[in-house]
Amino acid sequence: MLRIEDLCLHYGNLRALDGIDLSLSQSGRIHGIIGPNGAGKSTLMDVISGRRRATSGRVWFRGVDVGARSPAERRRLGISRSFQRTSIFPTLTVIEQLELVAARVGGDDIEKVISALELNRVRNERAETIAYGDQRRVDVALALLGNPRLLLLDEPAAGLSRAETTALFEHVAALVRERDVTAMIVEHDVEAVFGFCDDITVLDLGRLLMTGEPDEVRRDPKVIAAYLGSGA
Amino acid sequence: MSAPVDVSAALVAKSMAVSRWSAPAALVILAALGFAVPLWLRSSFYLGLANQGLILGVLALAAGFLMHQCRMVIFGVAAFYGAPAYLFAIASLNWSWSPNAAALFAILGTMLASLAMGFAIVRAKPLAFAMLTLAIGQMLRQLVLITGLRPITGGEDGLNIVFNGAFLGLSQSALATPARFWPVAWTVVCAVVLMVFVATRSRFGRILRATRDNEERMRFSGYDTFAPRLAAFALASFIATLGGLLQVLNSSFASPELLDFSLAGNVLVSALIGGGASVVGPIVGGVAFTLGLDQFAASGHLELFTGVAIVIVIAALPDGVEGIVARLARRRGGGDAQN
Repeated sequence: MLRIEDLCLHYGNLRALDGIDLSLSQSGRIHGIIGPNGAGKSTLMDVISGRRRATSGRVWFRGVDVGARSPAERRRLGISRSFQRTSIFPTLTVIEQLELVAARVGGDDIEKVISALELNRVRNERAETIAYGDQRRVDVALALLGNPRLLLLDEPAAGLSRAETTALFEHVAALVRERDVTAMIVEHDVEAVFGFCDDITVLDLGRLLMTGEPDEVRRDPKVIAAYLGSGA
Repeated sequence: MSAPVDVSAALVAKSMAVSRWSAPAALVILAALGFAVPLWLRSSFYLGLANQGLILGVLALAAGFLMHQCRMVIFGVAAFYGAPAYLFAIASLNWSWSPNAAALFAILGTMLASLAMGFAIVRAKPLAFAMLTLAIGQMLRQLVLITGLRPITGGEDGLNIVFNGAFLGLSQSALATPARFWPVAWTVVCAVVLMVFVATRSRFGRILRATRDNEERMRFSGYDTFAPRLAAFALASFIATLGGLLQVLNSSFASPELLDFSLAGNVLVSALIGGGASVVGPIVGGVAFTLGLDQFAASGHLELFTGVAIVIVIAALPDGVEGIVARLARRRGGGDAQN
């Protein structure tokens, strides 16, 4: 599905990503990316989705080297993403923007996505007028359309309450299983990550610290030292 | 039990259907009535001013469309206004082409140049885009003033055109007569209003607004954002080109003044007065601004009164005349506000 080889992104002397190797082979699973601020989590998402160009290394998606592909091409290949800061179309209604994106990515699943993310009551509202939590779900909905194979969610729960976060993760988890999608989620809410993710990768200072199942990661001394602390 | 609900739903549906068709119906009625203007506006002077107002309105519609749909401000609108006038003049005077052929040449030539220009500049950020259009417009103005090109462009004196035949059955003198020119200008106004009306309400319009709202999200949704912006620029250029063609058909004259950057100020103010977000507003703005300029010029303090009037109008009517109409319509439970 996704194979990342020796991925580096340098800004002068700053190594935002420093030789990352990662492979996600199984679909229908949620892969969490955690780490302290500045670890390179969002940068990794940006490189996979085409928002930033890697200094070196390769990103393979379903056997295709997508390193030189534009974001639009990657989306059409099946790599989809949401953003750390809500990224929607404020002046379009919810249904207008979902239809617009579905028309491009070939989705006939608008109603399913609306229903799964409980957006029906705001479907005819302009996106700029709906509640923040609904806007976050619209952002995720835009990424889910067209049955992508790899779903990148960059802090989907940012700014949401505990209840909203849990509900959003439940929706995402259900959709990932049902559609057999691979999801990669960057999230600061450790409880949500350990509760919903099947595998977790920990980054620190642009380097990959470890990848494993939640229990394994939680007990790892390097992860505790770098990110979780002894109280985790 | 269900009967009252059904009746209510039917009434709502009927009301929505009426609302959906009210704006197009109003436009059709307005278009038909517009042809009758020379019947009641007998003054050649004011009809001539109104013709100039329509031409300015056409340019304002082009600029307003780009501004509202793409957040692209076009400071160099004079390029699309002056270029077709010069191309028409050159084809008429140097090659003795008929007015119809010269008009076609003027449109095609300007559009070809605008596509090449758009290809180079629509990727630019809004301020850079605005300044690039201004720079191109001024380059064109300097081009026609080059001494070596004077035999072709007429230099400072411009070109007085003698038509080789009629334009769509209208002689040169008929086109110079306000009452005879009005139907030509009004037909073009109706056509460009219809074009923009359809464009803004189509999927193309939605793509433009979505790109304006969030270009990055569009790219990450699989869309190429360059082609729609180029198409919008081409449409606006085409509309402005028609404005330039109207001008040269009416005045039979192409001069460097047509390429002056100050035109952009008048065009953008007209769009703001009328409401750049609407299809009719810029036309109203163009006519109102032209009539206002005439009154202020008569006072001897053109710039002063124009400046004061612009400040007052824009402060009092942030959404232009169209904003007032939309508010009144909403109060009466009428039509959809345009995006």
